[in-house]
Amino acid sequence: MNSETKVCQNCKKDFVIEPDDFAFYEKIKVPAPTFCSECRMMRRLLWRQHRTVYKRPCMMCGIETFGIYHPSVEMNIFCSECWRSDKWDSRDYGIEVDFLRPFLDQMFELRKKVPAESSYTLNSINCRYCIVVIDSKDCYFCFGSINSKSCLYCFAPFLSFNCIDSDVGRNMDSAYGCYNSSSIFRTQYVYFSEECISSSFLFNCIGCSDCFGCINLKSKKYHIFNEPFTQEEYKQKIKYWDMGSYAKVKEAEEKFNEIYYATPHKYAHIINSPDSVGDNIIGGKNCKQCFMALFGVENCKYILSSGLLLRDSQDVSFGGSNSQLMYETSGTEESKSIFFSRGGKVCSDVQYSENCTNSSNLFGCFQMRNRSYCILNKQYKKEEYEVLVPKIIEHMNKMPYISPRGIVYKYGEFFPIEFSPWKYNEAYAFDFIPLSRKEAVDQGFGWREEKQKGYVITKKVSELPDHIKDVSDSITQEIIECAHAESECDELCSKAFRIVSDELEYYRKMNIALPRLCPNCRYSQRKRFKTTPKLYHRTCMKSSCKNEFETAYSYDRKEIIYCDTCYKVDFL
Amino acid sequence: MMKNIKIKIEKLKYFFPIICKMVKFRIKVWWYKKYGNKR
Repeated sequence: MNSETKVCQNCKKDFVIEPDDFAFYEKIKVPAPTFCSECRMMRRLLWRQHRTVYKRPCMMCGIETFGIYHPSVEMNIFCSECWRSDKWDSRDYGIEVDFLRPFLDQMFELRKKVPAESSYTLNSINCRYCIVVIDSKDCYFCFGSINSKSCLYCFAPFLSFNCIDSDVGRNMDSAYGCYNSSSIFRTQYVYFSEECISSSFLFNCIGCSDCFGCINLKSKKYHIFNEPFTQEEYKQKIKYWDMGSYAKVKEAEEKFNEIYYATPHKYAHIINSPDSVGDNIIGGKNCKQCFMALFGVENCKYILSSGLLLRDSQDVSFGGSNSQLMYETSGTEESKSIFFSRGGKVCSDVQYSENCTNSSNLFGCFQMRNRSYCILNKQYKKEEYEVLVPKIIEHMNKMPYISPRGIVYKYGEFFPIEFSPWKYNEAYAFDFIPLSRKEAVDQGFGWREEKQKGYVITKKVSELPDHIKDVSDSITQEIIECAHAESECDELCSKAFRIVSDELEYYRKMNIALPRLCPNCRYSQRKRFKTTPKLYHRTCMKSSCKNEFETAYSYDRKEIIYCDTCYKVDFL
Repeated sequence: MMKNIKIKIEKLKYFFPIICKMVKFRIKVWWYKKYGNKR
C-alpha cells in the first residue's frame, strides 16, 4: 500500500501514514489512526499521572491514604491493602452492552464504579509520600522507585541507594541533583552520564572519576572544566569549588552552563541501535521515532519511555518488558496483542481496558485479575465473546463517541482526554511537552488549580546560611519559602518546603549546600537539558560539514549540534 | 505460572551482560570506598 496523507482530527495538521504503518495496522487488524503521531502521544501522556500526591479516604476501609487521584475525581478509590484483598471482585460491577448508546460512554461510566488503587505500592517498607514504589525501603517523596533504598525526592530511581534529587537512573549511590545518569557514585549535578565516581557537574561523560565541570569525556581522571591536571594540582584546585557553599555551587553552575553551550553535542544519543531514528535509544534495532527506548526495542515506531525487550509495536509509552504487538498502550508490561489500553501486566488479546492483570480476551474492562472473555467487566462464554466483540466494533463505528470539541472516536482510537482523571499539569504530558496554563486550557487539556495551602513561612531563602556547616539542627522545624514563590512559576511550585532530618544529615555528610527551591522546582531545573520527544530536520553545525539528520534538539535551542561523524572526529 | 517463569528466563538471558556491568561497577565502588583512587 502507498503512503497516505491525512488531516489530524486534533491539531488539524497534515500527517503521513507510511506503507509499513499500513502493514502493521493490517497485521493487528485495526483501522489507520485519525490523530497524528504527536497528538496520539500527547493523548497517552494525558492518561498517566506524574508528580502530584493527594490525600483521600479509601472507599472500603475509610482510612486516609496518599494517592494519585485528586479528591474531586469521581472514582471509587481503594487503598493498596483493600484493593489487593479478596474482599471484592471486579466482575461484580459488570454491565451489559447497551447498543443504543456510544460504547465509550458506557465504558467510562463503568470506570467510575470499579475500584481503582490509590497508588501502586508493592513490597515496600517505610516509604512515605511515595507514588508507585516497588521493592523499596526508607524512601521519601519518591515517584516510580524500584528496588531502591533511602532515596529522597527522586523520580524513577532503579536499584539506587542514598540518593537525593536524582532522577531516571539505575545503580546510583550517593548521588545528588543528577538526571538520567546510571552507575554513579558520590556525584553531584551529573547529567546523561555513566559509570562516574566522585565527580560534579558532568554532562555526557563515561567512566570518569574525580572530574569537575566536564562535558563529553570518556575514561578521564582529574579534569576541571575539560582541562587535565595532575592528581596534586586537582586536589589543590578542587578545594576552591566547595560544594557546601551555595555561592560556589551557583558560580560553578554558571561556568558549567557556559562550557555546555560552547561544546558541540551529538545529534542524538543512540547506542548499539542499527537503523534507528529518535533520541536516547540503547540496544535497539529498527526503531523509528523512538524516544527513551532502552534495551532490546526491535521493529518499533513512536515509542516513548519504553523498553526491555519490546518488539513489533507502535505507539507505546511507559511499557514493554517482554511485550509484543502492542498498539496505543500506556504502561502495559509483559503482554501480547494489547490495543487501546493502559496499565496492566501479563495479558493477551486485550482491547480498551485498564489495569488488568494475568488476563486474556478482554474488551472494555477495568481492574480485572485472572479473568478471560469479559466485556465491560461481565463474564461471557468464549463463543458469546467471539460473537459480541465484532458487533461492538461495528457499533463503535456506527455510533461513535463524539467529544465536546467535536472529535469523533470510532474503533481504533485511544481513550478520549475528557475522561482522564488528570489535568495537564498533573499528567506526564506536562513533563515531556511543557505548556503554560493558557496554552493547555486553550487546547482543551484542562488545568488543575492549586488550592491555597496557607503555609506560614518561618524562613526566607535569603536568611539561609551560605555554607552547610553553618546550618543548625533547628532548620528541620522551619518552613522555608521557595525561591520561586514570588515569581509566576508554572512548574507545580509548592511555594514552600521543609528540610527533613535524614536530608539534613545527608547534606552534612556529603558537604552539599542547602537547596533554595521546593522539590518540584528542583526537578524542573534538573531536566533542563532534556529534549522533547519530537524530531527536527537539521544540518551539522560544523562549518565544513553539510550532513543532515533528524534530531530532538529543536531549532531554538542554543546547543551546538554535530553529526555522528564530526562528533566522533572531535571527541573519540 | 510457566509463562511467568519463561518471561523471567528470557529477560535474564538478555540482561545478564547488563547485570554483570552493574556488578562490575559496584565492585569498583567498593574498591574506591576502601582504597580511594589507588590502583
